[in-house]
Amino acid sequence: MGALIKLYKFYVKNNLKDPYYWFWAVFFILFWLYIGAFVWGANMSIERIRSIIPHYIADSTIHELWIRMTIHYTGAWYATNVVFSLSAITIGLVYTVYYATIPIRYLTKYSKISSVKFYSSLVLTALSSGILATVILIVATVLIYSYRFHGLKTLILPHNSLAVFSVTLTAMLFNYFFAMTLSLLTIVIRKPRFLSFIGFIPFIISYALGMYTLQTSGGPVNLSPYSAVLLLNYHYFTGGPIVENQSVTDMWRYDPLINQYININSTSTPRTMDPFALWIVLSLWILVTGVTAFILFHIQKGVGYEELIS
Amino acid sequence: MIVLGIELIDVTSGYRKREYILKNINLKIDHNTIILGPNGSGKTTLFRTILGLTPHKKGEILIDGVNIESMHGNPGLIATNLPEIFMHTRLSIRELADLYLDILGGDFDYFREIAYRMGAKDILDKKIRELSAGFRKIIYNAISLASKSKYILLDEPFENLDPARRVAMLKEILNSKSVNLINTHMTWMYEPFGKWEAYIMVEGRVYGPLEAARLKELRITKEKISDAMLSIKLSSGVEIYLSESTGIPLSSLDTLDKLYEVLTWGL
Repeated sequence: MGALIKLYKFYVKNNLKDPYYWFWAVFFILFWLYIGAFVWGANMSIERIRSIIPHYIADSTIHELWIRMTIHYTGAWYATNVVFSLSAITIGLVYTVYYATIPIRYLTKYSKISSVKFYSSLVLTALSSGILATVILIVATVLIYSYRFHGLKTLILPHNSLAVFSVTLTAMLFNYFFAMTLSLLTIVIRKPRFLSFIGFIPFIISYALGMYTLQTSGGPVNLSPYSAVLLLNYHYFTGGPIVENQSVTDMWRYDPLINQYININSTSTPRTMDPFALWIVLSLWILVTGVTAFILFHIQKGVGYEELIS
Repeated sequence: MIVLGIELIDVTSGYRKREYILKNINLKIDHNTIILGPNGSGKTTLFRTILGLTPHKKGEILIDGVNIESMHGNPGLIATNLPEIFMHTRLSIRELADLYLDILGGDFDYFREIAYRMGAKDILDKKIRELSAGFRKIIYNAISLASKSKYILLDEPFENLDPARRVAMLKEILNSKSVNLINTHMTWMYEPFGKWEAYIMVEGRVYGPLEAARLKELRITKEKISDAMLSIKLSSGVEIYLSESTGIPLSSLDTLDKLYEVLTWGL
């Protein structure tokens, strides 16, 4: 246990000194949050709500509607940002493992560190890095969007902060296992040069599936871990329902308060999705990628540094 | 301490340019040993193969009777100064050495003492990539020696060291109580190794053993002689002979890298 803790501390300290981690965990996150708040959200204002609802509605109700709409908008951007940012952060973390396959092979044979301990310390490091990134993400989202829409007079807080935190951290775990599986695959088949392409697959898929879920939802895409993360985070951030066959950008319409006044979907009751089903999808993905990554980690025989950089 | 030794049985390993670097190696190391050979002869590949870092194509490698393929979790068994076993890190040398010596079951204080004696006191808070090649070598040597492992494999431990530090490092190695296996292409230090076993390595094959102290008397020639202690057949078809009577003294070559030059133009 002592060796595991020692290695874990070593990797955490190493990661905290990694400028690439801070780039992805801070700059990249802030960039997308800024785009969402000030570029895509440039035309959002309380005046636009006034223009689309009946004139007799009281100002206090309009204000309440405005708050609900900004929560939905913020929730959608938070959920999207989690999908984009965490895949980027984990790619950086996995490169640490990729360049350490020879030390891993040596140390698991001739030190107190077994494969299980080594793997556990890496996963714990990823989780610790994920906790930090999640805190940055949540705090930055609340502050930037509260400032943009309410001048910080009202804070746009997640409906269920603990659940949002848990989903984000679980997303980190999935991303890490998936990226690790792909990078170790290049080591096991002894084609390390493939990593420059394969390493970015999680990044590309996260964008593709994230954007798909955001714009056009439903069908088999809900079985993807990225969709599950996006929908769960949106649901827990806004407190709104997960409506089947609806894109995330349109789900605000099904918020009971908004629907009551804006009256867009009064004719039919929407079919909603149970968050539990999405948790199961996400858990299965974590199980599959986690076990696969561990098997590859255990059987890999390492690739020399010269071979990696050649 | 029971030393069964490191044993290589008919080992072929290290595929490069459609050819294996090590060819049918049979070797048993159960006490201090030095392997001499020119650069490119396969000395480092031999170390990587012993450690299981370069997968071998054929044969068997045993450390204390245990096949290295099935070996897991053996702190204190074997250490090396090969740079590739050390993690690339942004942390200081002190932190790297502390981690390694803890999980290898070594002695961090001893590492610090070696570093101080080698004049590396002021670099312990630097990162490994900030060091010169010589200081890197000192740090990797010091970590492997301070691991106090049963077997220590030192790859070119004197390379890039200035003459004073070469001698200081030599003293550290001679003080080690482990079974040390050193490889080098240098020829200046036959004398101090006295009763160590010596092997010559050329073109992926190992020849020997000889007593290290006798190396300074050995001579090398292409002429076939009857009292040859060793004969080495090169891939070019040329056969060379080591004896105490005929040819150029081995110790007159600065490094064994000159072997091919001497064979081509000098003999």
